Amino acid sequence: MPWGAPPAPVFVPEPELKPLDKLPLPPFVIFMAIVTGVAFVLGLARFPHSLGNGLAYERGVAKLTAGDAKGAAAILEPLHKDYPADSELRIQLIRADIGSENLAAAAQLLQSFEGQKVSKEEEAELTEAANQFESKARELGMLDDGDKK
Amino acid sequence: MIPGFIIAWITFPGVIVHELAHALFCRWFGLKLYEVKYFQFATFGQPSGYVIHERSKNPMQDMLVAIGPFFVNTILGAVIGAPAAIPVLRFHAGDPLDYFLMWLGVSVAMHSFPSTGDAKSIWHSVTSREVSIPAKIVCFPIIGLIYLGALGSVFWLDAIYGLAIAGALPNLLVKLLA
Repeated sequence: MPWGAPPAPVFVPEPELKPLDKLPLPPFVIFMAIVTGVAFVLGLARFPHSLGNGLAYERGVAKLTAGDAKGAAAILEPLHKDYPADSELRIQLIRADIGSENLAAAAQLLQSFEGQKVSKEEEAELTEAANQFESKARELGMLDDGDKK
Repeated sequence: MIPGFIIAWITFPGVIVHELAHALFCRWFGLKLYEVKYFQFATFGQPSGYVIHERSKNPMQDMLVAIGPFFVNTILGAVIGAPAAIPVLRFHAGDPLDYFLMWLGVSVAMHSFPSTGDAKSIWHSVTSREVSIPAKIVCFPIIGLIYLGALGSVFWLDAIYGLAIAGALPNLLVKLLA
């Protein structure tokens, strides 16, 4: 055998495979099957509510775009109670509240962004909403020229 | 880059569901099972799970055993992840149960793709003489797709598929129905 050559392979007979009598189901597989089954049922049960919320948001934004601010606010308000932290939802609700002349609610929502980090896109939307708020407040005679927002 | 076996550890429920689906399809067709490994903490080059079973005389049964997990994992992943995807991805406000369902749904869906071992198994069956030419014409593109899917895992195709099924699909459904 030359120096450095690998040793000749040793033949090790592979153990013959025997058919299993039944499907082996270790406890961790049974546990995971139960967890997956429960998650599947939960998924089926929770999906209509989630889908309804998603559809409600889209309907609310569509109403707002169509100029029906009151209708939009009526749809977005209950959603805001379910998801109070969502920035995009709050911005749309601010716009709807301003449009429906509910400036107290809009102001409260605008204040909820104080100290919160927002994306550049959201910042631009918030600035636009704040300008809309100011214009509406002037229009309703709630803001004098000397007042600051 | 995160090695594939670590992804398999994190998403182990998907591996278990995948192998269980293989085993149940074997039982359904009355094929003998020789060894079932639902999950193992595999490292480089090792499979995270496998099923060794008898080859069927009917190549279509072999094909269903190989691609069965694709349908089982996809459907389970979609149904489990769907209700959590809207609060988590759309409203950024999921509760812990939503995040758990999202992880489980993505884990299950991302292990939908048959492995290259599954593709080899179908290839072996389809290239046999008993299989008719039309059946071969149907099966070859499927084998090609399976190989593409397996190769695509290098580029995170399986993870992208899992996220798309359990996360993006429900949000797409909202856009379509609105």
